[in-house]
Amino acid sequence: MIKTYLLIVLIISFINGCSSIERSPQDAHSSPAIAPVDERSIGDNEIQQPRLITTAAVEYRQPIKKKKLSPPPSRQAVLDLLEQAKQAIELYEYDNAEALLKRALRIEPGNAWLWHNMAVLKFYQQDYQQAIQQALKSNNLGKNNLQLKKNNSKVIKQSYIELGETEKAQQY
Amino acid sequence: MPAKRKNPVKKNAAKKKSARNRKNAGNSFKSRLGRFVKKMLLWGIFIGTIILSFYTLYLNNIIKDKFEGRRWSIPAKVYARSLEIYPGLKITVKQFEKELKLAAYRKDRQPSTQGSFSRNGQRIEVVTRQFKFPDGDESSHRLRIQFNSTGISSIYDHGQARKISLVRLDPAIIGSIHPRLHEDRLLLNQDEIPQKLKNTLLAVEDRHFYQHYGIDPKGIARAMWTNIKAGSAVQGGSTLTQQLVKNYFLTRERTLVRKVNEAIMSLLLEYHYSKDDILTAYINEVYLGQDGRRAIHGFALASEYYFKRPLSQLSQPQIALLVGLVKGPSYYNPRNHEKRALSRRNTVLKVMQEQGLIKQKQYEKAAKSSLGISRRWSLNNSPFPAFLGSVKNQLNESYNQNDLTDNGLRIFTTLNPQVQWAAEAALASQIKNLGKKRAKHLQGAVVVSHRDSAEILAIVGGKNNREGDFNRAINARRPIGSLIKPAIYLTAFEQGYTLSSLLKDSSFSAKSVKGKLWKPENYDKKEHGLVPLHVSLAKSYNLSTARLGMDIGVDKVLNTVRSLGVETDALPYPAVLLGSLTLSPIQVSQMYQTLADQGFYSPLHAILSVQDENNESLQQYPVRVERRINEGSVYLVNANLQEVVSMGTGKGLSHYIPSQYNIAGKTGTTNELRDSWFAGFGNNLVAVVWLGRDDNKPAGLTGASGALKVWGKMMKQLDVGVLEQNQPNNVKWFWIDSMNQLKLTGRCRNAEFLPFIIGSEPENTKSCDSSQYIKKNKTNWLERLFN
Repeated sequence: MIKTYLLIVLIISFINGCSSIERSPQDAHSSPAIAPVDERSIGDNEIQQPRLITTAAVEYRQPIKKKKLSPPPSRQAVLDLLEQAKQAIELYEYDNAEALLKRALRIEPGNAWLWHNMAVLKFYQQDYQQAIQQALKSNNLGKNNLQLKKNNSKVIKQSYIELGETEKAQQY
Repeated sequence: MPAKRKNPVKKNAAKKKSARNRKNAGNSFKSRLGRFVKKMLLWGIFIGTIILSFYTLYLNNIIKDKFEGRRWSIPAKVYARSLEIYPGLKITVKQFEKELKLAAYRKDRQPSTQGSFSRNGQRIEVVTRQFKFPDGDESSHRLRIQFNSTGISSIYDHGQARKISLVRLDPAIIGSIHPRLHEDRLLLNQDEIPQKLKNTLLAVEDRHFYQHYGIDPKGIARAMWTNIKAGSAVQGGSTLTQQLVKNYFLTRERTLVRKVNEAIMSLLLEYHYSKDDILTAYINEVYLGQDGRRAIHGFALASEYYFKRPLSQLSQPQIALLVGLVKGPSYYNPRNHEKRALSRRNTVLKVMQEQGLIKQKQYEKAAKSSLGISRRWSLNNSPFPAFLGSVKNQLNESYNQNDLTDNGLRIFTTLNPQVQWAAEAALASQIKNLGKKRAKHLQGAVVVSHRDSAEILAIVGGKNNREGDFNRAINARRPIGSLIKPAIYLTAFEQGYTLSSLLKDSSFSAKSVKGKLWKPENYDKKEHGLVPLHVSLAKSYNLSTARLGMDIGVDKVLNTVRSLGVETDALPYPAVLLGSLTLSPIQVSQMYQTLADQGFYSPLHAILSVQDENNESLQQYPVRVERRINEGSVYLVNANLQEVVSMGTGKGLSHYIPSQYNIAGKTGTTNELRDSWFAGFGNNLVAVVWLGRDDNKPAGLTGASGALKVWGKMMKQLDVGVLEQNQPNNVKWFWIDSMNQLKLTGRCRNAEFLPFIIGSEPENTKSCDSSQYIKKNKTNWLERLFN
């Protein structure tokens, strides 16, 4: 009986633990942060960057509200990599940013927010098909995280606009 | 009038004249000849000078072309993934140590230099190496890493005097791609060469290096004299420049022409380049050993090869040994001929002492020291040949051979040594367990990938895993048996079937190739009547599955196989439904990868990035994702595959992996037990195992009795992860009575808890009253989870 109880507790704790990864900071802060590209000045000669997209990299840095379980010990490593990815994006070093996000994903596989960031990055790289696909994957991993879905919808919508598929864009 | 006598005076004069004329004629001929010879000589010299000038010019061009262009062929180096070290990393201290050793870290009592470590129980002190990664430089760190029962608990950086959250280990080299001559080297710049190496080398090989012009007549004379005295060739008169020219530009044949060329080229080399430039070239060029087919060139690589240390960290006796090897790397090979090598090293030390480079006491101490050679470490024979082979195949599609063998490319791969070792060990151990007789002809292959990223973490191409062996993971195409079934059920869900749909499990026949009759059978040769669809897959019933496949269309099933990422031109014969489709383990992996990633297709890949010798990225392999399968359908199939493991043909996995891991998987067995397959995934890893014989004779194993055990043994050692499927919004779980197509409320006997696409669940509901309340059948999915 005790064994069964402990097992239930263990499983529920685990499920909570995992869901806290996806829910972590964004739940508490619903207002979208400004994208790093908006913070820098863009010269006339530079390629105009899309403006609408939010990045969780910024939001991730905000203090995490205490959940039932503390975040996994690897969380700080992921945050560090996200910060570096953000810096790389600011320097237009997209390949580096992608490599950094991939590293973060190896540490926390299936993290919906990391996939969202990956989708945003693809958008910056003007790879709109991949931006859509990766946002869809992020949605798939993010379960019922409304803020995440909202952010992903923005990526998908804007990508469809860039692709000239306005009808599809209107669905988001 | 008497006849006039000829005037004798005149006669004499004429005689004299004639004689003079003759003499003159002789003289004139001689002089003409002389002049001619002289002229010819002059012409000869003139023409010779011109020819020599042109020839010298030709040699000059050779020198300049080669010396100023790309001086050496540097083979491409292939790296494993780099280990990210962070608190929470699931790795044991023993595994970590193995990882360090693979990356050629040496175990010291007190690690102080880059690439060294020490272990004290659950703690490792390590000095990581500085490394240029494709995404930036990682500096060297002196770390104290503490482990606990689950993995790394903390990382303390001595340099920063604080705990840190993330650091990267420089990746292990798992192989290199050599040119035809198999030369390998590490290049040094002038300022990277330790002064003591220069001093030692010059003292032994060329004392007047900084005084001569490429050739040293005094040296040659001295060598000749010494050789005459000794009665054999004991001393060479070649300068370092000549040796470099010989090694670098010329063949090893001993002819006069080559000697002349050597002399001219040496003079030219000295004319064009500085002494330091020539010395640096020599230090990078010289041949110092053989690692299988790989030739070790240059002192830097030799230092790594013999001592596992960079040149800058070598002690005086170690440098003396390397310099001693110049005379005969094979004859004095310290690994094969320790005594000879020791004696040669001490000879060098003696020369150093005589030259005043070391003092008598230092000499005495150095001469007594051991050689300090590290254990044999061969790069020639990659520890992971099957993986390396796959990487080479992929590279050959994008690069020409010269780029790979000459241009010093750096290839960063996804190979995870921990996973690779676990896969190799599991396969070897399971085959060994079958006994010598059965094991003799049995072969196997394993492919493991990362569920989220589609990175290939391990490839085992056969039980021996030797270089040059047939790579079964990539190249062996075998019938996949029941591993195709998820594609059939996936197609069925897309056409409106549900997990509770009832299927007829009874024999039938259908027309197949060339009008032949195809008559499938169940493995147990029985018919099971009406069965719920989820049971049919869990128990791997052939008859009901084949009927289902015929109903939905074999061509549609093949389309699903293609959507899952397998390119196939198989014709839609009914036999395809029971696995006559032949695929390689890596193709099957791709199929299950897409299932595991919940319908998102990402191409499996083994390469992350290719960089040139200047650390510029030539190619990045970006993340590619594509939703190919409806999320609801794939959710149902995966839930069913979890049932395969919890109560179906994959049940045996619980001997290795606790059932709460909810692994999804499928066994596969082909006719007469020729092929044994198991494919499955947890939250982190996807893996496919195949066992069978190369001659295609029966292996005597089912999927469950063979491949599944390898899979279980392997995953037991790894972090496979508790499988969590993300439930789509259009999916809901219901208690069901499949046989009566009823939705149940309350807790009923033999109820099944199954997911449905909302709206596809049975319409009719039955309520179980309290009298009917009986503890449920333990075998259903959720029940098992909580019991």
